[in-house]
Amino acid sequence: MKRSSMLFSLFLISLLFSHSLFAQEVQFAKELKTKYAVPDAPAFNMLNQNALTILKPGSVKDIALGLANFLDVDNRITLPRSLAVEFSPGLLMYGKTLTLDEYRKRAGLYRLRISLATAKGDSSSTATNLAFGLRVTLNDDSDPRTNKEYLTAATKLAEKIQTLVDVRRKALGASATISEIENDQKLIAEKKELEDSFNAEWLEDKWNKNMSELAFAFRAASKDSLTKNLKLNKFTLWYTSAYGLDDWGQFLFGLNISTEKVPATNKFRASGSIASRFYMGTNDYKIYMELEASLMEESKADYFVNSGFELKVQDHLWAEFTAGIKQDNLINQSLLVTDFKLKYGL
Amino acid sequence: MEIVKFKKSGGPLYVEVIGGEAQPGSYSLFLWEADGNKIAFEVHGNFLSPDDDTHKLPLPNEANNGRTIDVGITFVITPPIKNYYAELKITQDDKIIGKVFTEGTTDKTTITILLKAKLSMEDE
Repeated sequence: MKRSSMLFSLFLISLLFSHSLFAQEVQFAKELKTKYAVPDAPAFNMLNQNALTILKPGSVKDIALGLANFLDVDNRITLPRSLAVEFSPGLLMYGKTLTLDEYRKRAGLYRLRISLATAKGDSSSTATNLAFGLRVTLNDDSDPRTNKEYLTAATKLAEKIQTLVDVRRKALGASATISEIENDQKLIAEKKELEDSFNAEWLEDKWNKNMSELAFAFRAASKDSLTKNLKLNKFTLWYTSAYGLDDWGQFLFGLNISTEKVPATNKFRASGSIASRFYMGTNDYKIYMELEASLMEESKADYFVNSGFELKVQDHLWAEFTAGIKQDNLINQSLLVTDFKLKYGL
Repeated sequence: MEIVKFKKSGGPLYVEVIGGEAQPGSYSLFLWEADGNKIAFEVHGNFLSPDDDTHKLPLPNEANNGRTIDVGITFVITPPIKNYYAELKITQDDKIIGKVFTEGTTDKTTITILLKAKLSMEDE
């Protein structure tokens, strides 16, 4: 609780500080900017006005859903205009009968994720954007299924509990049901003790384990709401590496290379960026600071200093608030960039 | 309970225990006598490797008539996957003669389930 209060206070202080320092020159800019509370789907990222340099890596889930852009043109809360889904085709198709051994042999295949996203413009006259993304996890130290020590410990836990259950099964005979077997206070207490001990050792925060990922996404836009005449207008490649610091911190390094069609010239223009981010906290709540430099073809470099707060609202629901200062050399101004986002992982 | 019919004159009966959803776990298989009070055969295993999860039931085949295959399985639910799936497959002469399974989703650390099948000899 102390750590929670401290982190929240730090975040508020950083917000107030940045806001007062740049108050005279800041032009409020409401820009959607997906952040990293749960693994970011490449396709979702692709539909943002500011694609991220760091695409936060994360352990594979069979399916995850993202919603964003809850404000309409008048800043009223509305139905989200951005929707994304990311899924592992391997887990979705073969998960039910997938053995541990099979997963371990082809972990890369089951960690491969596809994302699809759609975003509507602010009004009926603006384009509908669609994006497709692919994410490959190069290494993932947070995946317990490829951790031999974890698997040995988990199997031992299962064997101990099974031994307790077997004593009851033998006493009750062939017709015993699971509820009859488990309806025993001694068994319940012993099982809980074993589980608590296991959880204390293995299921503590694993949010900051070493990990690296490569992702690719492309975007297409249509001028009508039925998404006819889709035209490809952006391609992006990301690489991200994460390095854990004890149980409280994580350093992320990321870069991306992108090419996007410029409406005025109808030609593609290349850009690239490099960023580093430092997280402090736990899996359930954390703050971060990041620095980013980006360079676009035929223009000067832009710099971005950002901060954020991520909070696990419920088991599958994450809330995220970010605020940062962007030095935009194109318009020669500093912009305050804020965002609020909810993400849901099934 | 699933009734699994087998042939007295066929080959030995095999029972395979399958743990799905890539969850670690262990199991114990009891083959209960027909009266349900005594264990005729017992074997234990885990899901670290599927190579040793197929078990040959005692011979002669007719001794298994009326016996109950009772498999207790404990999974350690390993995030981020919260689903579990367990299957019991009975084969004779490489043919599946019976299959029992259960599946679900849980937020618990572990879950224990039972899969049962009663063996019945066919008239020949």
